[in-house]
Amino acid sequence: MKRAVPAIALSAAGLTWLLHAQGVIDTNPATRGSTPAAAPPAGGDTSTTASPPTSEPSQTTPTTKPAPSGNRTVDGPVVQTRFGPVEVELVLVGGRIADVKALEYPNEARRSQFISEQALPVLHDEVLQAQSANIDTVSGATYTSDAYGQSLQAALDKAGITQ
Amino acid sequence: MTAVRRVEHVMGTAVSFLVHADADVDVDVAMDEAVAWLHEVDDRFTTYRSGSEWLRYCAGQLAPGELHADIRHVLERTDQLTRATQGAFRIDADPNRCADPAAYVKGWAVQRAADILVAAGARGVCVNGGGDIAAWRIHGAWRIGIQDPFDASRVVAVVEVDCGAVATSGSYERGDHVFDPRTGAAARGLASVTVVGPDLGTADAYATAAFALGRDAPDLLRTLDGYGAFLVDDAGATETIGLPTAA
Repeated sequence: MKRAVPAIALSAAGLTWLLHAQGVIDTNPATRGSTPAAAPPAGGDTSTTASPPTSEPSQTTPTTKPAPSGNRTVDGPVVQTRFGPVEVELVLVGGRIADVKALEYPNEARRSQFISEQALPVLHDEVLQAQSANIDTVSGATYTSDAYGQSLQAALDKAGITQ
Repeated sequence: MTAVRRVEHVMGTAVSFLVHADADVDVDVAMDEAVAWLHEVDDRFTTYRSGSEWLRYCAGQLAPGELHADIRHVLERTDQLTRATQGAFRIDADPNRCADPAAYVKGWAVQRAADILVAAGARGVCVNGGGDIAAWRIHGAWRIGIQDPFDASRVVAVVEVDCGAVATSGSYERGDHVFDPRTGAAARGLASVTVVGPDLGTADAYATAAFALGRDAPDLLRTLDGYGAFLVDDAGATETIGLPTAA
């Protein structure tokens, strides 16, 4: 029984994979394919990448927004950024991430406070960007059981976001 | 229809379940069965706790006739995968230590856990074992983000899967743990490799093999029938092999 049902489904549904370009991935079909896309390094300066289409310009202090009924907040993970660890809180409206608050600045960041203040609005947009991709789950290098708590997957699980 | 989530810590990682099912399907019973299966595999194959069947096999304490069918399966399948990858994937890379089948066993176990839930009558199943995913869905597709290897808060791409598996290999979570079989040194050149295809154990082994080969991974990946890949190299450049793309 172990493989029978998926095998039937495989032939019925086929394998329809679509690779959607998000963020730093080049979306021009002419430059995708067998050669590396001419995209900026993923860890590079993200201030030039597109913001989510529906988001306001980055707010450094989004915490004073009045909460409509039905909102709830979830303590998010401590997200590892290239500027150091940043703890975030997710604001959920109807099961979707409406806002992300940075609770803890990276006080052990290798960069200066100036850079960390620049980084947080970027992180705000980036986490929303992950949500604006409307994803169910995240594939990445295997994390240990201990590191799971800091993963984006843990935030998705905690929020219980479903389609 | 109900959506049920559960997170189980097993096999040294966290396994996240997301199941859609009609109300007359007892998801909890099927989930318990899937979780019990994962713990059974962990107990049998672990190299972290002494006395497991796998360690006793490695120590030569079990005669061939005493091997559990799952151990025989893993030995046969990993041998096939070693040949399919021209030696880039192998469980016995370190001759001084017991063979470590984890890069196949975890994906294989998660795939079968997902299969248990499908067989129980679920309409949608998405099981994520520490970043490696088995996904199945009658209508629509699961949207699976591929983590940015340089920034854990971002995804660099989304792959839609209605019946298949997504496995990613990289060193950004656990440091250097994949070795280039040609040199014996830590794998270099890639930040992450994601392999998409019909079976998670196979995808997991292929991703590990491709990561080990570094910049030479595309030569191998182009030979793998039925499996596509998305690569991010250590400079951040991306490459897609054998997967349809859409803007």
